[in-house]
Amino acid sequence: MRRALLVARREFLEHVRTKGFWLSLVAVPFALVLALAIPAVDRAARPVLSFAVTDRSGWLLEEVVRDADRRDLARLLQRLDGAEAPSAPQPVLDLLGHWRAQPADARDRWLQELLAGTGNEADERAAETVDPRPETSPETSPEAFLTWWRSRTPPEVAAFAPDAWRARFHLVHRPDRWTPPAEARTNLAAERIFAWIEIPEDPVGSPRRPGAALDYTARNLTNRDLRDWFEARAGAVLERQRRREADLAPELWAWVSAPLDLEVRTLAGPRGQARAASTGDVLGQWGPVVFVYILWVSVLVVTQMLVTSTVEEKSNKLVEVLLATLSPVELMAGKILGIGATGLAIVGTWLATFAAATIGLPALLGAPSAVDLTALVAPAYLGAFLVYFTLGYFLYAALLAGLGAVCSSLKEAQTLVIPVQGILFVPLATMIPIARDPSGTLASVFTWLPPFTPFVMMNRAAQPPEPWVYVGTTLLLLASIGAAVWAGAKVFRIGILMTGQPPKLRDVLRWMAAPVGPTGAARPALATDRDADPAADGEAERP
Amino acid sequence: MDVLELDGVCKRFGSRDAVHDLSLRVPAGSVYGFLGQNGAGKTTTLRMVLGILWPDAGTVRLFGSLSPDAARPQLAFLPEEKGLYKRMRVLEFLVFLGRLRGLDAGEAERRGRHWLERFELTEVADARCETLSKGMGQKLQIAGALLHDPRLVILDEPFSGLDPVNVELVRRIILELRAGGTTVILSTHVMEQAEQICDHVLLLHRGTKRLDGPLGQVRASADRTLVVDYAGDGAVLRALPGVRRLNDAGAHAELTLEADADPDAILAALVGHLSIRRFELVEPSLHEVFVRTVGEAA
Repeated sequence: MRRALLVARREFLEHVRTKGFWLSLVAVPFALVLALAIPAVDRAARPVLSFAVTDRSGWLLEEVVRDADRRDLARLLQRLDGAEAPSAPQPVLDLLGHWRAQPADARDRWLQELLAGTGNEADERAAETVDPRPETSPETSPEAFLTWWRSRTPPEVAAFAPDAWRARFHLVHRPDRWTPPAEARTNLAAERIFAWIEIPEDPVGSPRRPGAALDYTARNLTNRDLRDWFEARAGAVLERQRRREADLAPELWAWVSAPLDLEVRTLAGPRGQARAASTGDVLGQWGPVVFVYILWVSVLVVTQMLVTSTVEEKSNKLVEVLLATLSPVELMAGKILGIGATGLAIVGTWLATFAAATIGLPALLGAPSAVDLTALVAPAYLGAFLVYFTLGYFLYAALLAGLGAVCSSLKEAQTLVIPVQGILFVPLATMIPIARDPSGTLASVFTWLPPFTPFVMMNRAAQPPEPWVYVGTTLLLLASIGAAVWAGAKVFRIGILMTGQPPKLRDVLRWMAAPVGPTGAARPALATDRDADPAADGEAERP
Repeated sequence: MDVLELDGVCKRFGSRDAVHDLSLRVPAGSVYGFLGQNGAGKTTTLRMVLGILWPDAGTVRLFGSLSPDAARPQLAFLPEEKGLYKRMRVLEFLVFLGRLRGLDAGEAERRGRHWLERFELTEVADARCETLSKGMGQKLQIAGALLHDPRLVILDEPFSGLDPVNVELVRRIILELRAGGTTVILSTHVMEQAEQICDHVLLLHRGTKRLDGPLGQVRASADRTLVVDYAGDGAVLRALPGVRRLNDAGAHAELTLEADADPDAILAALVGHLSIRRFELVEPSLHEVFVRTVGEAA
């Protein structure tokens, strides 16, 4: 065992010193960071989309802008109100003071009335008389705030309210002014504006006559940000207008249009009490799928490393020196342990990154506190992963070490491991169906098939089977690992010294059946043994 | 005492006898030459000695034991095909081999430095193995084999790839090992080297033992050779009594004699027919013994 550990140590150090190891180590965290950073960078680098509107109705655009402002400001004020030390320009903080001075249940209405009372005409007057850009003032009145708010540039708004429409879009004309179609078309063609929206005279219509459609014209049809935003806001305003014209009481309308309130509940606790399901509960049930995928990648990558290392060992001609010092089984065990440790270091880093990302990144990215990703990295999952990675790795490693030993080149090895890798694709295909039905027939059957047991048991971790299933499958898996090590060692013993073409399947089976031991009483003669390297003494190929 | 004993050892690969009914004894403290052509069965025999292969029949005893595992700590092996861990550093490689053979890290490093010095490799102690020349790599492997003071050293073609200076260095080290009581098995097909170093030789041909014994005895057992440098008509050489084989190059002839041939009678038969400049009875070289033995077997 001591010699096997020395081989393992050497294998580990050899791999740790390669660039490939460090690349593997950082590849997944890098990909994770990249996956998270790209949307953030994209958001930060997203251009402000300028648009023009020809409003033939004379009122819809103004209402849309007012409605959008009300939503954005309400959201901003609520956020600042919840912050311990709200940070925003002074006019915003002043508005927050006015807003807080209102009774809690009247704040929305106050904001609505504020915006309704300061229409664009008033805004225009204010723009002529008030310094349009007062950054600080002893006390900004709500009306003066609106003037200040409407005169900010998109980057200025983005600094404290990145989701506000004024941070993302730029209306090139005042809402109450009509953009001549010819001018809009010219600007669109010259790419001075991103889109041009035409509002018909009667977008509301009546029960017998549907409202006329709005036109949205743009060169870029893939970026739907502006289109979706305007569609939603104009839709809401039109809906409200139709409700008013139908003379429906707001309470009646709220009742008619109320969405179905479906509360999802789950069972929890030792007695299985029902309680409302959280996002964490849902994520927790999908957690095993993530682990199965990492398990699959890990086993695939690490066993491939083992095959490569075995073929390299064979090609560097040191095998005979080693086999004069230790037994083939010790050499194989050392390689499996060393590369397993290498794999564990890589996978451990991936898991640590994944755990850190799920725990730390949501806060870093300003995700709502309701999104609790920590359920994805429950200690039970991490523990199960380490157990099933170890068991799965040993099972496949023993077989692949034997396969690698009979190959003289990486090309040969890649061809020979295809059937084993084919088996490995099965748990990938069953991953989602088993996650949806962890106690179904598919899961129950595959649980007891040793090549799939580590993956399927990991997959079932969210709704674990009975304890006897754990005991039974683990015993079966250990027995299978024993058999794989026995068979792999027998093939490794002979294959590692072979040169020339890889053996046929029947040769490999015969090697497995052949007894091993000293001659004489302890070992019967093998009259037809087609043993290792006839290339010894200079012969080129096997007979 | 015999370090290694083989009795009736056989090994087959498919339908071919790689080694057939081989028995031999390697005395302690000797340099024992395994001689034979490519494919004669030398490496297969060595692999069975090392326990890498198992014989199909017969027994292999190392230090009196049937178990190669028990003998491994006292063994060293340098295979014909040499290799190194390319990315390891030279001293680190030696320490790894030393620890595999039971030394602790400190002792393995101390001995590693000693052997690097002996093989004039101290300067490359921290270099990666992949940067070494073929000869340096060869010396490093021999150093690795000797690190744990083995009682039996098996060297398969140890001189291949070495320049004359390093051949002499390795030869000297082998002789020092013998002087220190270490047994050395030297597998080679370069007869001149075996002749210079070996006390005993074994000649294998197609898996079968053809000759085995002390070097002098092996050479003496072979037919004697008469070397004749002459001028004149060499036809008389073909009619000489007691000559088994004649190799006549015109002015230089080598005559292989029958066991009971009389050199004086041959000289007398030549006088008057040829102008003789050299007439010398010589013991055959190992090379000649090899060629003759293999030629006869073929």
